Amino acid sequence: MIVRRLDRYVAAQFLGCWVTAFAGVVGLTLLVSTAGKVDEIIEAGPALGLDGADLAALAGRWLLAQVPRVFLQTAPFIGVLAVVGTGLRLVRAGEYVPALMSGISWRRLMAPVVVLCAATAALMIGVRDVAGDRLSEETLSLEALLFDHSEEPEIRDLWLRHPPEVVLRFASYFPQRRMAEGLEGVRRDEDGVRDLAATRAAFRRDGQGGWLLDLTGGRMGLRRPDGEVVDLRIESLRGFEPRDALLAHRLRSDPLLLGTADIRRLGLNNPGDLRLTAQRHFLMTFPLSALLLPLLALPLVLRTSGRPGAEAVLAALLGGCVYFAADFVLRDLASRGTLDPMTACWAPLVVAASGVAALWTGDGPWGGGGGRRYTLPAPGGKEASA
Amino acid sequence: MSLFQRHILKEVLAHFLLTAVSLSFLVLVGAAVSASHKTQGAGGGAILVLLPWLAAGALPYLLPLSLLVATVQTYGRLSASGEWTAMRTSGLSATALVLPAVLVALGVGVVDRWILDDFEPGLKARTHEIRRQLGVQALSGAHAGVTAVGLGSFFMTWESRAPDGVFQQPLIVVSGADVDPQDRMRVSARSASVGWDETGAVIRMERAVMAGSGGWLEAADFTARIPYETLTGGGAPSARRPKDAPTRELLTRIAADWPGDKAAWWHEIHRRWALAAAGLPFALLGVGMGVWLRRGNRMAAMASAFGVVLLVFLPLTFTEKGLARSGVLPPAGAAWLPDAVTAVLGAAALRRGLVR
Repeated sequence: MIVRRLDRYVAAQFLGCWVTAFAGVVGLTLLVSTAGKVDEIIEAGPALGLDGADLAALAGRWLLAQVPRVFLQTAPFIGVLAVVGTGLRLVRAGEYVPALMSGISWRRLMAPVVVLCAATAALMIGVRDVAGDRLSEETLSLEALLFDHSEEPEIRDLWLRHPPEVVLRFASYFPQRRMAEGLEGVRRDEDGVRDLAATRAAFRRDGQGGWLLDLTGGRMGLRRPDGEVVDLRIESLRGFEPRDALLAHRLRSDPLLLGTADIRRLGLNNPGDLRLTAQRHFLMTFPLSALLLPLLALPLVLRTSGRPGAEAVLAALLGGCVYFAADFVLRDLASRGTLDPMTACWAPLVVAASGVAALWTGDGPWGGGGGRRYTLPAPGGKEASA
Repeated sequence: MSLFQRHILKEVLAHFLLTAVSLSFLVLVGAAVSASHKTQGAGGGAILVLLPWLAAGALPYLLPLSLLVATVQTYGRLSASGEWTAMRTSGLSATALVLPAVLVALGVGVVDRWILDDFEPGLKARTHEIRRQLGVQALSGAHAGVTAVGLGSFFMTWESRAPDGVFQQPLIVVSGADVDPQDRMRVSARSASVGWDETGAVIRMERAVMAGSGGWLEAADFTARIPYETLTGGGAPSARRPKDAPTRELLTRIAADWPGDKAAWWHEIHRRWALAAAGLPFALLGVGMGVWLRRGNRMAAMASAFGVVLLVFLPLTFTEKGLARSGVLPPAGAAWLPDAVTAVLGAAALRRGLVR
């Protein structure tokens, strides 16, 4: 019963620190986003015929839509700060040592933090893989309203690629109607080089579970290897889906919300692109770092000797920086083909996991919380330990 | 400065630096994660080019916010531990005790003023240059693991890239509203190499088959010149919003009666000055909240500070701009509104704390 109450207390401390640190980053991000776009947002009022309250609500929705992106960018590092805040608070308030004295191990005491860090990692995957599509579409619609003053989003200059060798460009693509204007492209195959153009294109289902891209004013010039040129009318293209158009846009403009299935699909459309292979692993390793980095930082803080404070915060931040720098350099090497993408992406995480294993299973090198045993005389002359 | 004031100054500075470093870390890491997704295989150098550009916008807000957290925490602790009362009874006035926070706010103001007046506008003026650099890096630095680059109105895919940098089996499309119809092309070639001159990319292709406005063309060697404007998505190098100029330039324009929206320029100048001066009302608010709330805990300080920013300062930045545009307030007056309201809240909190 006491342990349950203690669990709730530790969890509440951690959540308080986490929410505070997150609110700080969100507040700053929203301030900066707002400052840069406030002119355009205010112009949307008269253009859309909205009064102040409606415009504020619209702008508020747009700002709220930025929050998941901030979460996905910074969650592991916010976790580190929250763990440092929680640990410092427990130590400084004199709650940590009494908890150990009562017979609870430091690992058990911090179990709620581990669970909450794991929940953060799961939430990162959930936000991206489950809600990513919806959030991205919502943002596209809101930005169309606020910045283009249009009810319908329009993606300009969209480039699409389809294996083996097709490149298409839409001058404008309207995702809600699945329709494009100003199509042109080039395709190379064993028959020669094809030059494609159409004034309009619209996606429709082909009745067999696939999609067709119907062309208006479509023409195709085929130049065979022997130099013969054939001009043809073309009515539809196969191989592209509306999702490909949206994913191509999101890869360039809003990549943070791309999920595992999205990256896999993009990988199919861009064979040989090692960045996407590395990205697929990163989609797993980055959320997992939201679990491991805080666990790595925790023993730094749980010191009973000296006064852990600024140095613990700085050490934790430095650790976060080193992890991120190593992860970034290795991913860069993976995308150059120098390192295997899987090895490159998982190596920093494996090192962090080894650190966690060492600190959480042994007595800990920090001379404090990491398993140090506190002895006190017990009734009857025996020693009790915690 | 008395011993007590030096003691407070040291504590405010320590908390300020720690909070500023922690928040900068989060902002920089967030910006780096975002940049690493957007550089199209241009490599690590591109991130370093992009990073200040992505993070600089946050700095002018980050410093006053850190000061707010530091003052809430310092004065909250002084108040909670009874030191505030002890210092007051020793004869120091509330004004004298607030002085250390004001000194740090003045320092923040000087740094913020430089960032807002010169550094940030300079960075915005270099937007085109940064885009150009990214384009050059993405195309020249494209390495073995990358098989496509899309830059502005230019898109190129290839099968593989030889160690000497030659692209094998490239497909190139150049098209867009900013591209002259005669320069639009769709090319398939056996190989291509990319060089640079002062106007843009020079792409030399072997065994190229090209479809363009003049029909089909086949050439054993074909050279295409792609201007920087095409690679950066259009826009002249000097294109920037008039109000993004450095403050000195804006003042010169107003003094020389340049044609343009002078009210918007005045508003921009005063917005920068007001933001640079925001440290003062934030410090006053921090002292007031600290003394009133009597909480020396860092997280409590951060929570109250961020609450103020999200619920007061952020909505006011919207409101003041709307009021300036609609003519309800003069541009200069509107720009100072967030500072004024924060200062009033700070004075009220301090008064309440002193009464308590």
